[in-house]
Amino acid sequence: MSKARIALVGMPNTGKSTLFNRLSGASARVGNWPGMTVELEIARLLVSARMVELVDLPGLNNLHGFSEDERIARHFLETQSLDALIVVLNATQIERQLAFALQIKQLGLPLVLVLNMADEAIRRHVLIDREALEKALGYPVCLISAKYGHGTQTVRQALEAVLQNKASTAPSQPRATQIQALLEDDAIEVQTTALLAEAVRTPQTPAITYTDRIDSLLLHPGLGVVAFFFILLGLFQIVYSVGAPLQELLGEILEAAKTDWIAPLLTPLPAALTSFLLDGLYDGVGTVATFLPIILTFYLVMSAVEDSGYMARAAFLMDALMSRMGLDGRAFVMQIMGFGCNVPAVMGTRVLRNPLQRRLSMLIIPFSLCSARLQVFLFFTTAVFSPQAAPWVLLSFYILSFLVAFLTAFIWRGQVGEQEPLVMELPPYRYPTFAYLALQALREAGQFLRGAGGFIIAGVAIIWLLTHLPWGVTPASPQSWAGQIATFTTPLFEPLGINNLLSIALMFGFVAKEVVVGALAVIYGAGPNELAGIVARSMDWRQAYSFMLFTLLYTPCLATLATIRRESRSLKFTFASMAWSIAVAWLASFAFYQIVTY
Amino acid sequence: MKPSDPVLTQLDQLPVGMLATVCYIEAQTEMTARLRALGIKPGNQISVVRSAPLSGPLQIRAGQTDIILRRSEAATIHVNPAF
Ligand SMILES: Nc1nc2c(ncn2[C@@H]2O[C@H](COP(=O)(O)OP(=O)(O)O)[C@@H](O)[C@H]2O)c(=O)[nH]1
Repeated sequence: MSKARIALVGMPNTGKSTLFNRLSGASARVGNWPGMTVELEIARLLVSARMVELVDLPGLNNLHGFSEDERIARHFLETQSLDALIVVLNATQIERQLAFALQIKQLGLPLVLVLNMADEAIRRHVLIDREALEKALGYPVCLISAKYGHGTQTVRQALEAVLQNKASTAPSQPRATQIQALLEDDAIEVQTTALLAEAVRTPQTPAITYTDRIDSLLLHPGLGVVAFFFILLGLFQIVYSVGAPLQELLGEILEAAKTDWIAPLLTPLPAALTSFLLDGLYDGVGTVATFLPIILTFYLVMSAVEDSGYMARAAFLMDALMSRMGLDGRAFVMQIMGFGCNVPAVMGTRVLRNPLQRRLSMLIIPFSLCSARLQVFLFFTTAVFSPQAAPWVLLSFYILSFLVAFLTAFIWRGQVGEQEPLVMELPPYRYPTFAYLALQALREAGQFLRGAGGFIIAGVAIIWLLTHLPWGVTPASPQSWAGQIATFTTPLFEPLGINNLLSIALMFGFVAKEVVVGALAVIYGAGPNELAGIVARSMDWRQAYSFMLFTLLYTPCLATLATIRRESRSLKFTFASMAWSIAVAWLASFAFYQIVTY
Repeated sequence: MKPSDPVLTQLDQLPVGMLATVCYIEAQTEMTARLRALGIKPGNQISVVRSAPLSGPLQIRAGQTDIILRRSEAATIHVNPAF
């Protein structure tokens, strides 16, 4: 039998991705679609010997919504051929979400209605007569808890039943026009009310939940904000105290492997090649690889924050601040996302509908201290500062990162016209599930390695060449190409306390920040373990701080710049944002270094 | 209930914790549709749970759903407080 295609649709936060992961296991990948500008997650699964392609669509509030996500999902529904839809609703909120399922029904596709979060519905005393709904609607209805895997099997069975009846329906002109015509329909309203009366019992006044009790502290006008900053500080401490020792251990293992196993293997090769392989590729890539534990802990922690529902609270608490800068609380969330990696955060600005507001957000996200820059800072703070001082130094960069971003937004806010509305759900607190977090963290780390890997290897290879060419010079000496470039730019960097060798590393930070430490390893001709000692001896804390400050601000990596260009569709804007950040970086480092050495 | 009814108030003026019934919404079609999808539509009961610091957004409760809404948008929602 032919391949079938099924899409998951539903309002934001109903658990589509959770169900998607449940159904697909680990087989998900990101796919491109003809005529679509974005990538969507797809997975293949076998349903009664038939290959099914499952697509996870972004959240829809209704079929004529104004957000970018809604446009993408709608465009997909209008243009792609589909065999069936899985409509995911939050069972607790069935009162308001059922109308959505009825709207979707008008598309004329076979449906499976999934009422997710059955566990929460029970806790909140929302009672649903599944069979009555099924009978009234005429298509399968499943009551499940995707997060705990309860009832996902019934979704598969329902899919089987639905697929048996139907051949693929190509996207037809009618489907698109149908969507156009699907404005708020009184008939749907009447139908929804009747269905709800028949099959659903919700409590008159919602019970006081544990979420309310937690929120009375965490959303408290004073204490909530204090708690917010303590939570941020706690996150850094976790990442720092769990990730850093692991990083050290991995560095030692890699170093031992190099001297004991790999170096002896390479003895038959010419010296120059051995040097390139060991001191170029192995050291560079090895140094970067030692930061993998940090990245994993970081994403583990970050997705826990997101999954628990705290991210929306951050938006709530921060909106007053952000709206004064022409942005909204969602932009603050993106700014926080940028602390993982600027690239997805820049893509995430799509939630801001106003293109000018998006640009403003894209202008300030590169100042977010991403995990790649964190690697550089962790290295330098550990090498140059005492273990007691290091976390505070690190924290100061997080604060500076926010300050510069806000100042930038404040300066440019006039470029954004009218304010966009802020309307979003505040979900109840939920326990993040570790397995799911781990899956996400691994996926992110994998994407980071894949996305950054090419850059890193190319970057490190280029550095090795620049420091070893022309042939015969002492590596990274003033006679090498790198040395010549550094000498040329000395007048620019001297007032910042940044020496020639460091300014070479900065040049390569243009490609990717994760190259910087690897570059230093090559420039100083050191292994991952010796580098810290050499760096500590070659600079004082002022120079180290000034260097880190410059690294924080001067430019995002190439991948981020490429994303900004793609999202803004403007090369001019991309270069303007780069010029802005370089200027800011130079001024900040200059001011800092001149003041502390005065 | 007529729009001119003196009992009506705007949602941003509604005291925290007081239940009210939505009467009409004075916003653009798209915004009205979004609010409706979130459960804020004429006839439904809603209340303000709390407001964010520094005149930040409001936390609105509509049935089983909590929503973040700025004061300016809340002002477009006219409600009839239940006493
Ligand atoms: N209690 C509960 N939470 C769930 C369930 N399914 C998903 N969630 C949580 O709901 C939140 C949103 O889920 P997600 O899959 O990201 O929703 P999406 O935005 O529709 O893709 C996450 O915090 C999930 O952990 C469920 O069955 N029960």
